[in-house]
Amino acid sequence: MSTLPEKKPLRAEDLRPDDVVITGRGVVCPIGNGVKEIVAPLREGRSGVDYDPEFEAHGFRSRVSGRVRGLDGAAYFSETQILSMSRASLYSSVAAVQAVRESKLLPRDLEREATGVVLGSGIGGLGTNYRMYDILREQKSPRRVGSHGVDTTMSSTCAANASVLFRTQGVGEALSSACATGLHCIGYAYRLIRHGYQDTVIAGAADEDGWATAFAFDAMRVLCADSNDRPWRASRPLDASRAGFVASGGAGVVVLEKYARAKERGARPLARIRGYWSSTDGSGDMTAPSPSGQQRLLRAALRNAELQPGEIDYVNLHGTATPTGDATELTALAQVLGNQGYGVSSSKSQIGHALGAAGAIEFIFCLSMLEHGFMAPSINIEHLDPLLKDYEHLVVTRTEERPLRCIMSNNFGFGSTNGSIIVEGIA
Amino acid sequence: MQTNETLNEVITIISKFAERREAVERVDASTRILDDLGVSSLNFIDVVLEFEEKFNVSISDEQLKGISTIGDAVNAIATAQGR
Repeated sequence: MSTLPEKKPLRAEDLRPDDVVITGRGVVCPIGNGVKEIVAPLREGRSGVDYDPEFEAHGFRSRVSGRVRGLDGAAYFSETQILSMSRASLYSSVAAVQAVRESKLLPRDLEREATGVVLGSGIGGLGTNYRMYDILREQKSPRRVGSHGVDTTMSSTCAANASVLFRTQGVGEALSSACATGLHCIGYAYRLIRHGYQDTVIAGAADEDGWATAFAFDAMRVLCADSNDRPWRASRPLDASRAGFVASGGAGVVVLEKYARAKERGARPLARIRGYWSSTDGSGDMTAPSPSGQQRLLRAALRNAELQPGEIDYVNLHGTATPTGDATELTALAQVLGNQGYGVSSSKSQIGHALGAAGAIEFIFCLSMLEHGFMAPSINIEHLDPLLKDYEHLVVTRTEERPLRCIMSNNFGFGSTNGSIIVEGIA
Repeated sequence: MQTNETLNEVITIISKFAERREAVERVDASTRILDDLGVSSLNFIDVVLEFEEKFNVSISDEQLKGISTIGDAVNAIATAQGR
């Protein structure tokens, strides 16, 4: 990768008034809570995966997970505000506050019709649902559950909490599309601004870590169960011995703005969304990845971004570490982008699979790579899958320090739903 | 439990859910729970649930509708206790 020619960076003065830019970021994930916290572990390829005693207590095959650690909700919210939050909406609310702070949006920028919220969740407040059911079963009285059984668990709990918190008056919506949720929420927000419905949107997604969101995947035998004694080795996308994904959770949130609006209020644009596409495979299969479906998606995303294949510097893979998924993905990618000129890695090798939040967290990681000029590694590749040997030179296994201009990030979810976003750094 | 003790317990419970912290300092029986203390209508249901647990009573939907002030809450609890 180091032989690639460096491209002239995009500057703020090159931006057009109707460009969609990112002005704020927030993240809660297994390698840190906050954009500043994640940069070093991301760059150094540290693992956020650890032994999970809760998984063992519940009889899981897989006893490793990526957990959010050290998050103090009380440092952000009052006790009464937290009553309306499940773990997922606490994560998204914390990340949203971080993003709003970085963007320096003031109440007058938030409390208006042109400012909206698109914050989704793949699974919602499932852990809270199970705890409520325990109360119902033991006490035989719905009243004992209390008054917050709905706002904490509904699919829109993340969007609802942010809309109430910031008193926004524009859209307040939650997309849910399995493992593509986070990317779709950001992409949908991009379209809302691009087409003039909003000029500012707080967008992203969250999902809970823990047994409640993971056990059904354990039942499907798609979680890695062969590394319970070496948790940091469990998540190994693209490796020949990969054995399934590692369950995790967290949240990623960005503030997207029409550039004219950001400029007017003196906000610093961190990056520009260059293009986005969303599609389904049309394969008639719930879970199997489709090479043709993925290729259609990637070509459409490039067209939408008005870019040629050679203009992408780095691709953040969906790369969950399932045997079929990784091979299909990299092969389809190379069919569209060609076999040289860019690097690829999977952030899930470091943090596991944060389900609906994955795309949003990975988008934040991509923004950090653009800002600091590096490609984070895919860790835990001891022997690349032989099926992927033709693409070995594309796979980033050690951090590569170099300025990047355009990054593509992709996600694929149950229900054959796909998303691809292209973001461009600003010098 | 005597009325004064009930009043103090009711204030302690409601205070946990009050958004207007400054208003908590000067509550009395006439203080309106939602309007003056900023307890949300959703959290008011949890307030009543805590009354039921603390005083071992059941407050009916009809009684619930009649609770506006802290004094109303004390009276509803007394009624539910059969006093």
